[in-house]
Amino acid sequence: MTADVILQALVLGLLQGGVYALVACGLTLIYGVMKVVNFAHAEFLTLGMYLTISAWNAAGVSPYVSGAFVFALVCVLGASAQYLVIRPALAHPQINQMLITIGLSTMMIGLMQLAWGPNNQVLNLPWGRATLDLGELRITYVRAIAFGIAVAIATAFWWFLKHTRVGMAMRAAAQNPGAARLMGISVRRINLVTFGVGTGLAALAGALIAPAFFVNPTFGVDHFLLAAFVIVVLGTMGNFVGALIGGLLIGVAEGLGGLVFGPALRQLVSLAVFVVVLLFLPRGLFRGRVT
Amino acid sequence: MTRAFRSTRRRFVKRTAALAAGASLFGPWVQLARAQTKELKVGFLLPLTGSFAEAGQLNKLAVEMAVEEINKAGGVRSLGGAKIVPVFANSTSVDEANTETNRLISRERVVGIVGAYSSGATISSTVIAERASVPYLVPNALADEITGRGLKYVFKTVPHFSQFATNAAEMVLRLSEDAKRPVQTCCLVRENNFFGNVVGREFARFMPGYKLQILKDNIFPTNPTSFEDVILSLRKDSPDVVFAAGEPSSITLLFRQLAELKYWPKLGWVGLGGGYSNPITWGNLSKLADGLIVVNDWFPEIKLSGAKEANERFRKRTGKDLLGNSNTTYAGVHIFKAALEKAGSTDGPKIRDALATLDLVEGPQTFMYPRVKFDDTGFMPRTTLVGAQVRNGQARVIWPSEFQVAKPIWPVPDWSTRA
Amino acid sequence: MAPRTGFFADWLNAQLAVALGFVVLVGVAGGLAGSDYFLQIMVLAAIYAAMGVSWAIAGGLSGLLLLGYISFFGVGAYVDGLLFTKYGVNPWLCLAIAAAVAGLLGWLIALVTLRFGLSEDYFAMFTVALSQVLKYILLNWDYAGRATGIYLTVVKDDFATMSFVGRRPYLFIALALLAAAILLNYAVQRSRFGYYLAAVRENDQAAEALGIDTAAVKTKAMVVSGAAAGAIGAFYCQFATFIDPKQVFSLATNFEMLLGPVLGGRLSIIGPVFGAAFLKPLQDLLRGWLGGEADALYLVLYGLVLVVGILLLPRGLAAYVETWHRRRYGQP
Repeated sequence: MTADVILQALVLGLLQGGVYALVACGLTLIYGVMKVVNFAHAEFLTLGMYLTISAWNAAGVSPYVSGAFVFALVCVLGASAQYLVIRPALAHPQINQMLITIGLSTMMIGLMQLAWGPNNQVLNLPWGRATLDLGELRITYVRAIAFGIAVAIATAFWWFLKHTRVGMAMRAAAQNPGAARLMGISVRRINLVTFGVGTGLAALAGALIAPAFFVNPTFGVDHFLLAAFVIVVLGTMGNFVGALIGGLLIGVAEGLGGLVFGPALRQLVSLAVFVVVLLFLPRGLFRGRVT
Repeated sequence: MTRAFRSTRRRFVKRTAALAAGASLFGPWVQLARAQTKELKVGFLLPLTGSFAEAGQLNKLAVEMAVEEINKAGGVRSLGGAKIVPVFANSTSVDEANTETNRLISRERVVGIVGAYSSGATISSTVIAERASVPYLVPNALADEITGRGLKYVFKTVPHFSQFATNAAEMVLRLSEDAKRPVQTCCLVRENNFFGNVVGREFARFMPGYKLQILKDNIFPTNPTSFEDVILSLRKDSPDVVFAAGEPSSITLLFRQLAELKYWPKLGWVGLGGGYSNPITWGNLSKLADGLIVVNDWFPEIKLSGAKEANERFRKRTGKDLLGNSNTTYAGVHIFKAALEKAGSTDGPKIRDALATLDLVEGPQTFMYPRVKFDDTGFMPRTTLVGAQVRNGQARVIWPSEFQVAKPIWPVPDWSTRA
Repeated sequence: MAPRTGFFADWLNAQLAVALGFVVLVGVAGGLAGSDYFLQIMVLAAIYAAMGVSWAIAGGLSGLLLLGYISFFGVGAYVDGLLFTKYGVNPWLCLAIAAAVAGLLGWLIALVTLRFGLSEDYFAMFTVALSQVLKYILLNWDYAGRATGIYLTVVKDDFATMSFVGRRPYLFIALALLAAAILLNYAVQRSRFGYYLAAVRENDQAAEALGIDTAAVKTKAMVVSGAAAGAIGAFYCQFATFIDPKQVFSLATNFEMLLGPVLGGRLSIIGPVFGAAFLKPLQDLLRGWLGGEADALYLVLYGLVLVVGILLLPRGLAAYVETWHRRRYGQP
């Protein structure tokens, strides 16, 4: 196990972690404000990938351009889903809410399969193979860019939460919906916006990773759902910064774990972290503080 | 509303019972009618959805082509020119395969079943067919256990797992001898699924006999997002040759990352089985697949008469090559039809006996099998798998010499001269 | 209006009668007619129903957010598969052993989660994560066959080893298991334990204040529900003759099994029974009708049923039936 092999695993893990972070941020936001565990979150990522790949295949639009439109579109779609399906269930017992998001997930997978077919699809950028070589270290540009933009957006969103009116309203609703209402904040509207934006972030992550992977209807749930949940819990459910940091941590953990234990046990690393965190640190690294 | 709910329940139960009773009453009549009509229903179990959907859909196209050819040529003559009607059923999960097998047998009353692509689904559904005395031909699932359990109604045309290890080793040794580059070490890169596990087992068993040392057995999970762990490990071990198995989606990702991380084994990369031999995989990889060597039953560019023509026919219909088990399935349909001809009956035991005593040296399936004959376990002994090298999206057979159509490039050059 | 008396005046008794009556009816229908196709569907429906009724003890009556229930089922299946194929242990005995092992797992989960004070959402995610951990462990365990799984070969009838050529005997065993689950659920609801469960469900802290050992109650519920699922899983292995980790720890199957009790009414007995009896065959028949390729359409419809069903019937259908029953029999 030479140093450069470990370094490569670490760096690649970190790059993956950035994308994980963006996905987890959306999930934790939704939980923080609405206290809903969105089991359909990964489907929005898959949707983002599909839309981006379609834009490329149909009109040659670069994913870095279509990403913005994909984000906006999925925000609207997510908000609609919230209005139609989730909002009516907010008064119901938790198990109902969870199963409703699972039903939503099933429907979305089916709809995506109807729209795009079950086969794998790829987005082949002409420079998609190009790598940045730093000595023994090799990083593909697409992964590096995905990381960069993901982290930038997550940070920008964190700033948004802290300093804008809407952001502060979201945080207020997350901490105490009752009090927020008394302050004149329309919690209903905040929920709508939160769900839309949260799922939009997942779709944006999808747009960013589209050049690096392939997509099929169950891509999101197969590869990102588990990690997203682990990160959200690790970073404290509802804590945006926690999701960001947790994402990077889990990315690196998986990268190194895969190297040490072998690739077949990669997902087991995430699961093991999940179980350990749930038991010993259920309130996450930030001990239940919601940003 | 609640009263209505109660009676809806009762009605449902009554209807189900009535339907069940009714269905069984009609059974014998339908059977009788079947003998008179010019229609032979044959069940085809394939993974039409899910992770194997690509292969399943390709196999379905192959079945349709074979059935069309058979019906156009006059159907099954010994049964009065009866036409074959394919009934497709999904074998994506074991439960589904079992339920669908039951449906094919009890509701559709098929005269035989062909399937089911995935070994797990095949192992369990063949038992159901055996119980019902319905012949089951397996042209696309590999598990040895399929014919190793003393079942009388199960017949398999595809090779045993062990041949992937023995033939691959023989080929590599031959290539190295011809190129005067000794090969001593290898690594495995395989998916943690049925085929992958068996490949691991067989290679562990046979490689020492060929004096090939396995440096590391890299197993990756199905649906991986990255192969960095595997590639870094390969870089560290630096084997002469890599033997690999996996599904098209994994292979696509693996090769992209191999190119990104610029790793290539010293002599070459040998892909085993369906996933690597799938033209869809090569399409997705385009230039990245050049030089890849693949091992399977058959390729269109092979020294067998009728091979190119069969492939052309398929390409004309579907725009795709006759690969990824579509060839074995296509041949399988013709073989089953030959059995029906021989049996001259829709009776399960008679068709089964026809299959057991079949000895074909001519017919459409000779594009792939010079001779079709099953042994007493229902297995069709094959002389050898073949190895082909991919170039420009096409695989041309390079081993063994009796089927060779192109000169192999060995050692296979690394990424700097390719992609 | 004076309250009516009699056996059926009591909601629980009425449910028991209807549920058991239904089981008998299905048994008769399956015994008389029924092609192997229908029998196959009915056996799976009975399995799902039994799972639903058993889940209702921990997940419904005690209010635990037991989202990941399939762990017990998978463990039971593997216990039977391994013991039977590797050591020739009698499958009838395996049912009991599987129940014991699964019950032990339930006890461990309760111990760990209660000790660490896992609150609802976290408990739910923990149970889901655990099912996938078990899946990954078995996928990588040579002894259990890794991805290859375990298979049984059955070509002739042998009652001693629970192997049958036709589907009918399996239906009777499945129905027997379902009846046992129904009786178990009924007995729990009738007992003092059931009373404690209700108290814990309504208000955890108030129950504690009343002197109820809520931890013990929850643990017991997990053990009972888990053991039942283990036995059902063991039977499933014998029935399906092939199991692999992706199948018996599948999250999709897990949620499908919860559909019955959630849409049917998880505080009732008839809810899970009729929920599964209706939904599981619907699923199989839909798959058969829509043809092999329409899996996508099936997914959309299924998801829609789930969402609409939950929105329209948040307490499950049985809750409305209970209200009607209450009015009819004039319960004070």
